[in-house]
Amino acid sequence: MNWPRARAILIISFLALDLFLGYVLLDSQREFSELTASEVQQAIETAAEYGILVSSQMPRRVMAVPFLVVRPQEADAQMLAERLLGPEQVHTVQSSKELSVWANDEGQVTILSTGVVIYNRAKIEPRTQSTPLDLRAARAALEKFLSERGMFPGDARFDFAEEMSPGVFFLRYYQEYQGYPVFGGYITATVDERGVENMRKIWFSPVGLGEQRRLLMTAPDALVTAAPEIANQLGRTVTLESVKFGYLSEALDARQWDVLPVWRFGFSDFMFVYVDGYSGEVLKIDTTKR
Amino acid sequence: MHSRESTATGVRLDKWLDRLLALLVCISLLLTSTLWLGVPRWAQITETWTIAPEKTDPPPLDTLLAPGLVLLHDGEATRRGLRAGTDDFLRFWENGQDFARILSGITGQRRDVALAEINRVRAGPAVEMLFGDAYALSDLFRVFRVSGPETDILVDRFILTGGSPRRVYMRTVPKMQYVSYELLPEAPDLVVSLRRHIPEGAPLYKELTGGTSGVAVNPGTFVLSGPPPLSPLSVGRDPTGSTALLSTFFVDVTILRRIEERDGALIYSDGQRGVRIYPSGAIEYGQPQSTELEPDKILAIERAAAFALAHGGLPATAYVDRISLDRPDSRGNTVVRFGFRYAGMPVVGPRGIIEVTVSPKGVESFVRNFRLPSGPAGPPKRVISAEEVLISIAAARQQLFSDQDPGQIISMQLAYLNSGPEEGLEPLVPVWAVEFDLGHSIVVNAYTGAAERRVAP
Repeated sequence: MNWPRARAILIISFLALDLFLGYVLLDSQREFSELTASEVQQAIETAAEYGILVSSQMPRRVMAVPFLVVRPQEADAQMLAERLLGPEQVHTVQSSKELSVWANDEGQVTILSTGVVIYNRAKIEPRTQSTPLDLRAARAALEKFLSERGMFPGDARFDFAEEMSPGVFFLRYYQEYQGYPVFGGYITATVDERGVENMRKIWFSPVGLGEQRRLLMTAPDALVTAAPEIANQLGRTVTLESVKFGYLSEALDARQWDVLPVWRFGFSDFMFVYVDGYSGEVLKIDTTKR
Repeated sequence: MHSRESTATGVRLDKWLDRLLALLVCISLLLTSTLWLGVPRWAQITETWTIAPEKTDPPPLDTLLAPGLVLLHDGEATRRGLRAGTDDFLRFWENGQDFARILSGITGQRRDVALAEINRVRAGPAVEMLFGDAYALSDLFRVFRVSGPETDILVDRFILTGGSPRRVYMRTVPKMQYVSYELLPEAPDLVVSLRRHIPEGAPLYKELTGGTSGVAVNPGTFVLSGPPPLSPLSVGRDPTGSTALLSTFFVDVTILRRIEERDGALIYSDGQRGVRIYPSGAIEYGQPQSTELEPDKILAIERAAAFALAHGGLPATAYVDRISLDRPDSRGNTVVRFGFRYAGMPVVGPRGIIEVTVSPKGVESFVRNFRLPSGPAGPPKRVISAEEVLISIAAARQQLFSDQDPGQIISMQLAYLNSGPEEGLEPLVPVWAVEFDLGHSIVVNAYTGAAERRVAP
């Protein structure tokens, strides 16, 4: 037997085999893979049967994600009220376990036990027709208003805006954690050239991502699963304009809780449907902007 | 020299190539085994969200539905009583064998009976069995697997005469009127059986009257005569461990969403079902199920018992305390409330010890609120008498019932009070548990006489 020759053949064979097995193993352990174009197309056609016309790009990624763990942002209610209204003559209008209401000549602030802060400006001066805001100026006005009061978080990301009437903008920001939108945390406000007319804010303190990862439904799968319920709830043909992955937390009066990953499907006229990323169940339909 | 060096180099190369080959073989074996045996990390998740199968048979219904008290009417003003949950009672009851033979011995036409006749029967000799709740007679036939006359009456107690010929009397609910049937001669004489099992020193019972208290008492309400001093009971946590119980509700607890409430309670949910664990160890389970089917009381008790058994178990002295519907119409879900007895005394609470809401499709909610007595928490103290309870109720009438007429007292018994699931490990205090015919249920602190509402109708 020519052992050196046999050995050379074996070395080459095993090297090739190991490379192949290594590739297969790496491929099987990859967290992300993708749906094929035909699979996405099939989902789009199924959605169309339910009156959902898809005009946006569909994420194809297959991924496994954990829960997000959050806590409420604890803050002194009076301090928040004074920041928003100014310290002058701020007084309590109502105080109970569920909410406290503070007011002065500047406006009114309601703080719910779940951490939701609602601000309404009191002084309404006549609008000046000469200087209507554009979107950039509206965003700058809101961000300045909140920053001056120490209430514009660094993890806030601009979501969308709608010009409700010339120079009057409805703005929405969402919270972000490690690059993921936390849709439950948001700032909404109405802004015109006179400043911020009203504002609503709920923000969370993320504790971290959970340890256990679970396979997330792909966006096309989630859309197909939720399509009958969406069609049933909306009862008309709608156009899907955006798809975004994130976390949707409700504001709870609790110490700490797990938050579900969701797909957010954005339709025309700023309507959003939040779908449970694990089960495809419709969790929330936002048909109103405020 | 040159040849020796090249030979040495060749040997080194040979060794190196041999080792390389061995290494490659080892790597291939490792990779192959990893591929065959390993599971990708993201796929190491089960999506099965079904309730774990029930592990053992439920406790027999003839034990859960046993009467709470059996009285021996022997011609005396006070009667000896055998309380459920005691050894003497268990020897007498024997899984309801004799009671089943009594039920199967019911014959003839049903006859309405006046209270005067009942009073004559109670003069003795007779045995009176007082059940904790009212049951359809047809349901009792089912539970004890016997046949009997077609009837739809609800009954909450049986009076069985001794000697011959024998008759059975029953109190019907809600009218609290009595009916009677004949008994076949082969039906057992429970007077003889009870005399054999009841000890001489058994507690004595007397018939309560409203007296001058102004509180109406239904005739046939028997209470302990001269209640003994009692100690509060120290309690321990549910030994089954509430978090360990989670795995009986969910196959994979790692997929559950967790909410930590401000009071320390934990909520676990898979999106369909939820479990709340209180700091006290009490546990609540819920799975909404809408249904429009007619509930079956006996089936509901069987399902409730099986569910309770699979999710932490039932104490040996468990009994069915109350069965009700969660909706006023007859298509509501059935709420089965289990209690248990300690030294013959029931442990009552605002929601029962175990409360299971059963729909025809399955169990909709489950509350397990256990504090297991571990012994006296102090020296025995004087317990107020039943007559003093009436005075306390009369004094607190406005606070307890507002301007409503509570109706008549139909049951008054000594019990231990188990507080709500939010509470900690405070000792259980003795109370008088009082039931009214219009549905009110109150407890009166047996030390202080303070009265509070337990259940509103």
